[in-house]
Amino acid sequence: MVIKTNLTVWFGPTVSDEDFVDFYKAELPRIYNFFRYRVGDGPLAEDLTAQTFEKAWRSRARYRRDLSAFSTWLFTIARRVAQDHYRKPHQEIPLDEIANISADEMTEELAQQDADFARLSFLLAQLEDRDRELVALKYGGGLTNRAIARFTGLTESNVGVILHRTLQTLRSNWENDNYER
Amino acid sequence: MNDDFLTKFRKEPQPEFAAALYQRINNPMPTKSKHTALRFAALTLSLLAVLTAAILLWPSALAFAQGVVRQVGGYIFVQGGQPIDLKGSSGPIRVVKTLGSVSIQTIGNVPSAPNPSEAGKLAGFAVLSPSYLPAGYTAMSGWMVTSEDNSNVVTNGYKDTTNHFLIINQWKNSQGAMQTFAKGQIVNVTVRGQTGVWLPDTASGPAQKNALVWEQNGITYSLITDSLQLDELLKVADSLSQ
Repeated sequence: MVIKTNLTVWFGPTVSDEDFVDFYKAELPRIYNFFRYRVGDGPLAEDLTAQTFEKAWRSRARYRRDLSAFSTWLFTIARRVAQDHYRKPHQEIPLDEIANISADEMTEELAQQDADFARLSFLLAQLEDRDRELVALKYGGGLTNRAIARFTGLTESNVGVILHRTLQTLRSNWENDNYER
Repeated sequence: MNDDFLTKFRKEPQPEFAAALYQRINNPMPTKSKHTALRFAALTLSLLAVLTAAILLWPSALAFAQGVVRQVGGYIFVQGGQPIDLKGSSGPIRVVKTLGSVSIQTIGNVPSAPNPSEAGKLAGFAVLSPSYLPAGYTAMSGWMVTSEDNSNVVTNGYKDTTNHFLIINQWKNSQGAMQTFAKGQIVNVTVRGQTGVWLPDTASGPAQKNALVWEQNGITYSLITDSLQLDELLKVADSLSQ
């Protein structure tokens, strides 16, 4: 994915509406997967993804003034949307419901993949909020440790250590079948 | 469980969702955006008209205006407010910045020369090259010649090992075309013995973009960077020569 910054009119707009459409197409999967790993699969991830892009569209003039990397700006909005989501009181969806959504219509392989992801989501939900966000940025959003460090204010090595430790925890819980419903 | 295991669950959004979201953000809002842009443009033009009238009719307003409106070569800078590009133009050269790299890309056929001398022949004026670059900076482009408002601009770029960039624009404004921009902070500086402006970005961190702009011998020069500060840009500017 490339981030475009208009140069010859640097002092003015750095992203046209046409650019925004290009950015939308390129960044949608990354933002969507960030939310899938952050809050779980399903309509909620889609809803938060939609909120992120709607906010980005409405405030794109601000991006023109202040920011150069579109994905950096977009992930900043996405993080805020996720934080707002967790601040609001919301009804928890029972895990069984998540795991069973449209299972009838799936192939066996896809059904297994979805079941695995539901299981992973369950384990992710047990993590500290910060650790889950790092996992979502890294494995959902596809960001590097350096980029994550810039977002979170942690050092790059600290990000690496936390992710390593989190992975060990996830692996241990996964192997121990720590999947209580 | 490893990195591959964790990333294998990524998937593309449902096409219906992607299409519906695209419609939601793309349908009603361009109209609103155009209206907003027009309102800003009208507001800025009105403001400029009032300021011009004040300068002409009230000499003491000149001193005030000098702190608010600055002209450097082909640019007019208005301090404060939203950035407005009155022409609504979009340039053919872009800095393409990812989270792990930075490069320059061109849209369409943009002539590029291997050195400033050849670029000068294409552009029709003497193109300068820096003999000083901040530590770690190396060239990331040739010398690209584009036409802007019927006058030529030569652009070349540099980057360092951490993907910070420095862009040098040289614009011969032979047609007298002007571009007006709003900036949060405009600082008067002396560059190569000429009056110029230092435009520090009000944003901080990785999104920061600063610029140094001045005019000399009919050429408007701008150095644009996402990381360098005034002292380094002045050294680069001082080192420019044929």
